[in-house]
Amino acid sequence: MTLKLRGSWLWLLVVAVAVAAAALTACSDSDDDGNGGTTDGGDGLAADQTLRIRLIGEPTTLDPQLAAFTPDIGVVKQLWRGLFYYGDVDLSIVPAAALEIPTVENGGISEDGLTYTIKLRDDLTWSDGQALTAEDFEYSLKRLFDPAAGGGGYYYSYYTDIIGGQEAVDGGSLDEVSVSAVDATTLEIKLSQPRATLLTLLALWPAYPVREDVVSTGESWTEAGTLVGNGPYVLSEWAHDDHITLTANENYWGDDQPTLETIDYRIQPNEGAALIAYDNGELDMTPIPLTDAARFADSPEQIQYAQLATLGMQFNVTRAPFDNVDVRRAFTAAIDRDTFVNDVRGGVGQATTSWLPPGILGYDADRGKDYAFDADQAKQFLEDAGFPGGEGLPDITLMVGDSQSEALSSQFVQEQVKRNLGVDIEIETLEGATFEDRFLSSDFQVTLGGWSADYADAENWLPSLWGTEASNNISLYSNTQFDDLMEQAAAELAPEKRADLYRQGEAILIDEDVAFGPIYHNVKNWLAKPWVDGIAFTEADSETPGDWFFTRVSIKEH
Amino acid sequence: MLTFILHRLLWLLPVLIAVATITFALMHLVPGGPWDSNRRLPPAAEENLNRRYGLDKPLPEQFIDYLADLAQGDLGVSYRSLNRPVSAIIWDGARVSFTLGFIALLVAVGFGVPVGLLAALRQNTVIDYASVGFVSIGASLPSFVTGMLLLVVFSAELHLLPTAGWGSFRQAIMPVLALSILPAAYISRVTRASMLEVLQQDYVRTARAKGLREQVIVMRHVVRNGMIPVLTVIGPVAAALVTGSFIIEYLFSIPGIGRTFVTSIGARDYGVIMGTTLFYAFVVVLFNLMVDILYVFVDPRIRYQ
Amino acid sequence: MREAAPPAAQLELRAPLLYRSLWVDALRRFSRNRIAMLGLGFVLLVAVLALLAPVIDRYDPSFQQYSAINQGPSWDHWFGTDALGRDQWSRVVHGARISLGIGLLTTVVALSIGLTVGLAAALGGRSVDNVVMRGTDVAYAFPELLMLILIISVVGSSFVMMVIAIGIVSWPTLARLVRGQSLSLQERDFVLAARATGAGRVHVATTHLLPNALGPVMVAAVFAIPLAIFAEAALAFIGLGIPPPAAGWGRLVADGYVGVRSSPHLVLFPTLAIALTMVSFTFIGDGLRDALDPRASRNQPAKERISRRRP
Repeated sequence: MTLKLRGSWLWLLVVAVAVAAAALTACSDSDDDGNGGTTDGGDGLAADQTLRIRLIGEPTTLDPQLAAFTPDIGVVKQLWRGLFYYGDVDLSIVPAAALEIPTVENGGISEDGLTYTIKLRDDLTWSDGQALTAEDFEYSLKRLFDPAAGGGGYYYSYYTDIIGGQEAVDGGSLDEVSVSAVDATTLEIKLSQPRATLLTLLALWPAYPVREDVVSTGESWTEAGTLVGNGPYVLSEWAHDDHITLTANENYWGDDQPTLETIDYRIQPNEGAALIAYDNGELDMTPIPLTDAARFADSPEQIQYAQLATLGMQFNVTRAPFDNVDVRRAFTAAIDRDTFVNDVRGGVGQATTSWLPPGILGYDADRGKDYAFDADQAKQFLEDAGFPGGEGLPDITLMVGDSQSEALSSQFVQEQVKRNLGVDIEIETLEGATFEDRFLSSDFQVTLGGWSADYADAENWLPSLWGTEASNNISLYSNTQFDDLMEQAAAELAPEKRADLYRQGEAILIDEDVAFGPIYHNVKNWLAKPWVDGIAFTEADSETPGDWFFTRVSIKEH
Repeated sequence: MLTFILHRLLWLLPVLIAVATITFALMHLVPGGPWDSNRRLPPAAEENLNRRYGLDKPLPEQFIDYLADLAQGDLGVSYRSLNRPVSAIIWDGARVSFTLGFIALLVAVGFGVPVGLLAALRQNTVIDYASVGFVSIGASLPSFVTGMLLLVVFSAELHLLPTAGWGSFRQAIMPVLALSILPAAYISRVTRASMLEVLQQDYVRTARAKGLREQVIVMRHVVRNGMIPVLTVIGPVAAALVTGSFIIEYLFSIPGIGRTFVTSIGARDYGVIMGTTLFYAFVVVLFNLMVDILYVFVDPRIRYQ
Repeated sequence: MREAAPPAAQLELRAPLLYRSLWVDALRRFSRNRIAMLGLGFVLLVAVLALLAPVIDRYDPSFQQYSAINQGPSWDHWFGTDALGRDQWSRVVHGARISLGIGLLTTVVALSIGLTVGLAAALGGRSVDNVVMRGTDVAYAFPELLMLILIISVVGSSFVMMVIAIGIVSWPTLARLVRGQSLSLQERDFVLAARATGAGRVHVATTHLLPNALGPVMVAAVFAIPLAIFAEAALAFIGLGIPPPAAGWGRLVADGYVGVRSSPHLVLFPTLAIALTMVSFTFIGDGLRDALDPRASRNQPAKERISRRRP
């Protein structure tokens, strides 16, 4: 008995010792301790200029003409620079690869606003040293309409004012796309109608240049080692589903030279674990989960700022009972937004009755005031609709996807409608892609939806989402007056007149038709370590605060 | 023996084809497609994509094309990781999950079997209750709770271990622990039960009566015979461990195939779904076969024609 | 002539008694196992609480009180409140209905399918066995998640559908077990004897195989119950659980775990509920196995046990 007893104890002991020994010896191979170095890198900068951020998921692609999701766009923005870029946090447009902003005065824009002649800098290079010319831009912008490339993406449709674009996507010849390199430093673009936002669009990722010989190497040209960009950073490592490493581009020609030497993206889908990683010193920046908002409300490391995003009740205005405008009014007025934002969301957000967020030209602070929270008013609207006290209403189902935030918001809305209108609605929770399928085919009565800006212009908020023919018109809204206003605004170049036209359009959309029931504008709530210096956040950040201006970020000594 | 193995291997083909057919059918029956997201693709773009990847062809034709490609070893490309070959995705993910699962299996068996044996030899004593009870407590929690607790204690509070990723030994400690607790409990329980049953057998009693030393009895008779049911159990446990656990990989940010698979289902990434399902089926069948073979070697009473 | 009852009648009386006494004996042995009884007691307590949920909850579980968000345990709210101000005690008690319900009912479904398939495989002869077992292989190898998503997306994720869905993906293990047990039992002497006397297959199955195989199968089923509860929790974690506002314990844990460091009480109580229930079922399972096996050492008279120890 004794030996066998010792035998099995021995076995247990051996395993335990082995594990412990290995753990102890491995304790010294710490590769994810915080930024090492209290040694001075000069000017109070740390010796190790590495920024470690969390990425919410593996990027679908790093091809600029196809980048669609926030991880894709966030990384792409560091690897390339287009003709123009944002100059500062006010999102003003400045030249990047271009030499100067084209205007009618300097001949960059023709009198009729249909021809753009853009001069490029003559010192442009790719990250491998080769010269970057207008031909590269011609190739890339044409590629945006190539059915085998950008023609299979989301964003080419913003650029279809370029003559020949839509035809190319539909199968026509790419040579007909009217983007041409007049010479090595001059690019000419011809439009079918004037477009006020063209310069902004050329600052966005679908218009970034890629090199033909790189792309022709095959489908995996976006891997580290083959990918060639012209931006401040270079892709040095892409360990799929794990991490991405960018290093500073030695051949970067731009005026915004980076101080950071490395940007380390860790792919960490679970935000709770990401917060722990931040606490543990493994990440320099991380988002604050909603459930922890109260805990960090007074933290000096918190970064909180408004986003160009709106969320609320998205009605299918062709399906009963939401085909009745008074029912939509009733539901919109029944939601206590302030309680939602302040109590349930811990102050993270901004209650609103407007579709356009503040910061978009055309935003009106009084928008939707008639539908601010008022239970009695809401009940009155319902009576006006012909359903006093909710009598006669068909069954109503609020359809949502399976995320935590949708569960929270939908249960809140359900309770509000019950309490303030006396109406019982069902929540139908669908698995992600099942939800999207129903959503995209408008097969629902009401859901929780909204929009997040691609760029800071009302044109991104109104015609493409609410126009009668718009492909993204999920609510099936149609109003010819609105369509007319949108058409006028599209061809208008003067900013004030455009803003006014869009304002009028939104007035019809919200004040008159209540096509959407706004609840709140989202707010970014992140944490950043005190040694991360120079974060310049904007309302149009993709995922990480300040990701348009990482070249301004540096790591202080710590 | 050889004919037996060959016979079972031959069954692999129809099983895989059956799995492929059912998966393909289910995949396309489920609502939603690979291009769905919360905004609509321009219609021309969707057409272009469908044409490029052959998704506009009738389903039976797509299936035959897939089988034809499969026969040549081409598993297609992913849509979620645009144009990345499915074989590369499976290879990268499976390597990680396999390593993690294998280590967890070693730990589970390394702890589970001795604990179970000890408990059986010391049945109904404090040692019995303590050892089995101890392991069982860890197994009485859903794995994401255990994982989260480990993260909170060892990373957040004690700052001893890193939270994320895969690559160094330290990064593997918590996921291995979280992954191995349930199998360890299960294995220890099965071991205990099986050893107990063997201890009742007449031949053990005979051996004792003959005057053999206890340790010889245990080593030569009890363990050998008692391990048989344990082995049958280890098979499916090993298969499950090796194919990756989504929850553990999600919590600890491990780039394994469990996480990839679940994500691909949500993204309706057809190529990855098919490839991974076939891979799983292959692994499960293989493991069952290995266990059955092991069974024959360990228990000479079993005969297969 | 009352003393000597007719021999035939006596025999008739005794045979069924002998047969039944296996279970009666088992019951008696089980009741003497203190730990198993403890487990049973806890499970019964939870069951009673679940049944009485509408009576013993202190608030409506879906009542949202915005002034009391994310509060820790207090006199008003024994288990605290959640992100929408709902009383956690009420949610946990109502959650017991869903969790226990899923655990028990899915096991019933899995057991029914598993028993049928397993017995059929064991009795049907070699070729039937082969086909059925390979079919089980396919079912086993099959990614359950895909199946679950399909079922749930087509018929909706109601309680009934969850039960059927989880049951459908759990039967292969039970079928395997039943078949394994039946096959080995078929070689046992008493079965061979029965066949030798001309008993038909079905009769053999129901009278001889089933009761003897039932022991280990029941034990496996008892262990399957908490696994079903885990499955509900895992599904809720992925987002596929029973739709809100109804919530089993698994969903409660999944809802609360992101904020585990800010509001640990949201995770603590449902986790305890799951853990204690799981442990209780484990004890019951162990006790059941020990009770059903008349040769289990704990059931041997004491002097046998002493003789096992040697100097």
